[in-house]
Amino acid sequence: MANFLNISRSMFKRKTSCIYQGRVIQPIIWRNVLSKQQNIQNFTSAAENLESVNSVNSVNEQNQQIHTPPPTPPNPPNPIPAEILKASLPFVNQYGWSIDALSQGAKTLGYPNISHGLFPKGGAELIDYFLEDCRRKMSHEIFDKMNGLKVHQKIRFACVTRLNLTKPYIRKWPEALAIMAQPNNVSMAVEHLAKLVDDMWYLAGDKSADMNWYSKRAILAAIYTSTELYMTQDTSPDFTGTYQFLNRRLQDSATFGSLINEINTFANFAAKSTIGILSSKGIGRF
Amino acid sequence: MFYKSFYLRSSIIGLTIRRNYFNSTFSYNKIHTTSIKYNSPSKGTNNHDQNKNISLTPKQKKLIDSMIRIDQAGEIGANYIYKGQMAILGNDKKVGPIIQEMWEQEKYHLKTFDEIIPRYRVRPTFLRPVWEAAGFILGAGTAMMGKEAAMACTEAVETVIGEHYNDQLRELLHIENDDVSELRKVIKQFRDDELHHLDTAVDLDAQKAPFHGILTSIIHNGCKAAIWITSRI
Repeated sequence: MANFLNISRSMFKRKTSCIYQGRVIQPIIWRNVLSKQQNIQNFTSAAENLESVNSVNSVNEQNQQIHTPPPTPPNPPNPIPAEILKASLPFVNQYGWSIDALSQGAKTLGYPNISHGLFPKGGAELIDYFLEDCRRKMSHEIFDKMNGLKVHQKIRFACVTRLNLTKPYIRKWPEALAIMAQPNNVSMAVEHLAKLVDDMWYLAGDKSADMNWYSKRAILAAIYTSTELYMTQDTSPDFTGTYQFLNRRLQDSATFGSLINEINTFANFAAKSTIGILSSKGIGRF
Repeated sequence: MFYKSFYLRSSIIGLTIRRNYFNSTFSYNKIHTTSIKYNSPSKGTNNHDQNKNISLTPKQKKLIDSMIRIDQAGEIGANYIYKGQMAILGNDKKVGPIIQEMWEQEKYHLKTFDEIIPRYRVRPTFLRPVWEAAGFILGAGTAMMGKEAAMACTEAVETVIGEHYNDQLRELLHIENDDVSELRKVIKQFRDDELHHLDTAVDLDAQKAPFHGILTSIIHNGCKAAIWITSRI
């Protein structure tokens, strides 16, 4: 009796501890029969399991030499999610950035409506794809057309190109902004914005290697987001109001940049004069 | 976009920036990390490259990113250390000219990294002012303790930098890529320069500095902490 209790207790313990760790162990009876066989399965990702999967052999093969085939390379990236997202974009104006649009897109490709389950974050994933797609399109459109322009003209060209890509969805863009502002999605949105301004400055030929790198990108991010926000409520014909807004912001930043320079020069001058005065009074060894 | 070619001052290695790099479109396809999930197979191949470049994986790109960032921060620190030392010991007849010469080499190193950063599309360190200030204070502080202490500071810093460049070279050897090979050449040359500085400092009685052991260990740990921070920020 005590023996039985002991065994059952140990079985119970082992099973629960292994479930906790995510492993499964066969019952004790079969363990004795298949004692030489590895019957512990790890619930880890398939990629990590490339070698251990092949190590489960039948008892007969135990006598022969165990050899495992070389690990297979990981699968190429699955193109289907991208196709569904691409097909969903035309439905955004009607259904918004939501799983309804995703379902409609999947339907046009012949996949079942429920395929929106591929995208657990729903509309946010559609926005994610859209932002990435727009960034690439902008870069592809611009990279060979930048010769002969001055830097601020290049920046303006890049901004205008990118804004034009948002135009078809501008009616539903406030919804996208609201989704991007949710805490879950903020980091995604910020990352896209960072990559966007980095690409814009790179294509404009930015070669800074110090704090200018950060200030340039921060300023451009502010300009671009404010312009896009303005565009969502712009009712002027052909969005001329937005372009004027953009021009004003770019002018502001140009004067802002020279203002910083002037402040720097002044501060330098003040510091050097102070040091000069002090050393003429005998304080300091400069 | 054109590039002027430049040659390293040392006669051992000549380094020319190839024009192809820039003309092979914006290499953002090659170097920027793209979202793997949306990378459909047809867009995967990059036909723009003139060079037989094997594309860097995102992990490699991140590694090279942080390496170059750390190198630039290191050169900034070294620059300002020598600046601090010159401010105090500039008039010294024995070590003044030598520190000046080492400083000139460091300025050249920094200029090189300032050109490498946009070329490889690396984010520079955010804490540049902090490293400038820290370097100046360290240089001036040790110089005020005396010539030997200044040399001991140089010795400690150059030791850490030399080791670090060696570690980087070891890791970069695993990557087969033309641009990375160029970077390796640059790092190798700079490592040799830094070790030369180390020898100079030791020759100038660095070991005789007061509190040599403590000073060296403080500087070693400080540099390693700076390297760790810069690799992230």
